[in-house]
Amino acid sequence: MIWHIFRKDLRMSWKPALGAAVLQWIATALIVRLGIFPANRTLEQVHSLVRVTAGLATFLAAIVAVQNDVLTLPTGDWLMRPIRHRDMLLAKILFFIAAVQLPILIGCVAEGMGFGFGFGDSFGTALWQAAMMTLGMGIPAVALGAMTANLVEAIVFVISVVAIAVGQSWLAETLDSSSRSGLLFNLDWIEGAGLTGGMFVGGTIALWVLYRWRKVAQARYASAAIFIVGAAIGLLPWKSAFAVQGWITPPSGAARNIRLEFDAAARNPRAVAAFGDTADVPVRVAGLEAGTAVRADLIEVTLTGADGSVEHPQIRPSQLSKVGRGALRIVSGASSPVTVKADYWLTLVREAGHQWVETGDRETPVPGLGRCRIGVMSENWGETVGCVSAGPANGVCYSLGDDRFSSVFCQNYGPSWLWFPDWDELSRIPSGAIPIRGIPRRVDVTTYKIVEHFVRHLEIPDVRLDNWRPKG
Amino acid sequence: MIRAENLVKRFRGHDALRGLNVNVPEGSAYALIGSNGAGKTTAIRIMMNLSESSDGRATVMGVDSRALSPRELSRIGFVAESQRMPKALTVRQYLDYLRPFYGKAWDRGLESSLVKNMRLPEDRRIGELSHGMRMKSGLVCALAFRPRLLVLDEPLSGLDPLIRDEFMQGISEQAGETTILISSHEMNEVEGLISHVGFIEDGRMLFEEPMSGLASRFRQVCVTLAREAVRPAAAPGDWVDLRTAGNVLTFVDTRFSESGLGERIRAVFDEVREIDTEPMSLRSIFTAMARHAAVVGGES
Repeated sequence: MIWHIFRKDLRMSWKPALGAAVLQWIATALIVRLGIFPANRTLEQVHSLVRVTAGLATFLAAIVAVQNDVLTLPTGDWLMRPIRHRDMLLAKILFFIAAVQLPILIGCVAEGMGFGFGFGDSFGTALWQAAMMTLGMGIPAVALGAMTANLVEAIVFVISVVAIAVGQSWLAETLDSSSRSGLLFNLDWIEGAGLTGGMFVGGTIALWVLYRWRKVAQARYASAAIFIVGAAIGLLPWKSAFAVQGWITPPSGAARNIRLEFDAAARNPRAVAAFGDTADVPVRVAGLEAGTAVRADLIEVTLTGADGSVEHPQIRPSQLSKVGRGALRIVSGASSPVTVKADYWLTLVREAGHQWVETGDRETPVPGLGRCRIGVMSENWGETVGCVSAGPANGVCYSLGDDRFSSVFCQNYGPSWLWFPDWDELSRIPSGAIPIRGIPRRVDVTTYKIVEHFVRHLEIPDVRLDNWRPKG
Repeated sequence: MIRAENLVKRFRGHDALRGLNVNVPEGSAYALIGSNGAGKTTAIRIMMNLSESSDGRATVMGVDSRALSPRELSRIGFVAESQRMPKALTVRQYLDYLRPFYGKAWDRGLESSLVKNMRLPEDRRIGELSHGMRMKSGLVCALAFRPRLLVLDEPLSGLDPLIRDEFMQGISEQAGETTILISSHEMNEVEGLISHVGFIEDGRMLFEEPMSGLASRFRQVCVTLAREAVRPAAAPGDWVDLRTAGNVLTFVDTRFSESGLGERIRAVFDEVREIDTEPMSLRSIFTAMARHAAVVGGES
């Protein structure tokens, strides 16, 4: 009877399903038209708006279909019909997959092919994306439809969820930003997984409780509690997040010989724009194998004066990646000698490949990143390398302009960009290749794979910070 | 066919049912009557597993109401005033949708006959139908599979007389083979249909019995006295709804017995000139009992 119920729902709710699909198709046509480097800012904004609206329409289409057979009220006609609740639930999920998701999948395949990928690559990625969308959006939408009696109630629920997400975000901002896991290199997946997992698990449990026992209040409380727990995972302290990652990917031993040392013989730091009382204490990374690099995710520093006074100077997040270049930037006005104790949370990466990308319209395949070319993303940012890829990039990392690494996880064919200047120095720009306005003629894009997350301790006795403050 | 024992339903700060007992015999046409807010709809929803009771239990066709499965539901027809049918479907589309769920039990001939007799516009969307037409559609959907049990919750509310007649005719044609449970305020319409009645007030069953027993047990009694009538200080407890007007006193005798009535009246009143008794309609019984319940409730 699942198919029979599905056909009835299709007859009743084809309009919202078609509306969501049309919006998705429009978004697809726009992104293909915009390409890697959108020249038309207005069109780009329209695309963003349509994409968001399409997502909302998709969510609502699923809710409307579920509410054709309302579960929360004792007045639903179907409740007195010989209809198995399990069949009803499966019919609603089928509606999401076949009537809502299938047209979107077709749009995704068209998007991939529009970017020049083959049908196989496009279909595989679209299928993966559809599966993720069904779990992360379809199940929660069906659950929300089942937990509510009408669209108004559902929208109130959605607003509540958005309020929780905003609250979570506000709380995250309010908390010391360095305490959050989302800042850690390659650990921001925990935050996303928490939210998505919360939505999926909460939705699944709610559906089970609703269609098995029709306990509406219990389903609402359970799903809300699980979602809040999921959202709270986004506030996971970074040490805990690091521990979770370490548990999932045990040390390979590759970082065993890596040490951090004070480089007393280093020259005085160059003149740079500095914030307040900064000191660049030279730190050398020893024991690195060829083709590997280390990135500091977070550093905790304690300064102990000769008189026993203890100071916890601020370590700016923007400094964290510079350990590979050899400086630990400390913001402190201390003028007398101090003992520096630093705990480093580090990530070891290994080069996966190089590829020159040249200026021009020609796209260059870069392993792990897709097809890339150089272009102007915006006047503010100048030239960038933009890439499109079909499907997840399998853990390959590359640089972003805000001096952080980022894992590549392309769920759709939307472009990814490498920004310049590359403060992580993971993309080498040859000095001879910058003839005009700082625009490179060609860029050597280096891709990396994450090898290991690890922790190191550094202690430097009797350091006079004044010796390491920028001159000039 | 339906048995409810000690049903309790608590809402926030309010007890809708306070230990309700119901027994609907198989083959009967049982009317659950009571004033607004007495608990009729709540009781029916619990018995049909549409709501959960706070305490007590109910069985339907021998099965615990909480465990009603498609097997039992395929033999139960249900029509309620507040029922939500799919508004976007036409009557025909909805009948086509429901038919496969009932398999061979669905009688297409009966369906056609009911649609025709009730003059249903098959191609109109349910959402565009009037309330009366929607109720008739619900009845067709509840009768077409010849249910063993037909449950009707306030089916006549808001219907005009013509549609009421058509609706009741549709039910009457099924009465012989189906157990019927109907809750309604419309006593006149259901009186000719029902065989049993249960009177529910303030979440409790005041009484339930066959209509034949009820008709013989209740009498409107009119006593003409030689002087001005005054309400007696101690009237028998089974005399309810006592009223006086001039030298006439009327009351409802809830345990009427032809033989002993005169002696019982004369034991209370002097100078009785005349005693008249009249059989009562279900509506009159309901009205008298509802007034009596209100008085007793107020006194308590």
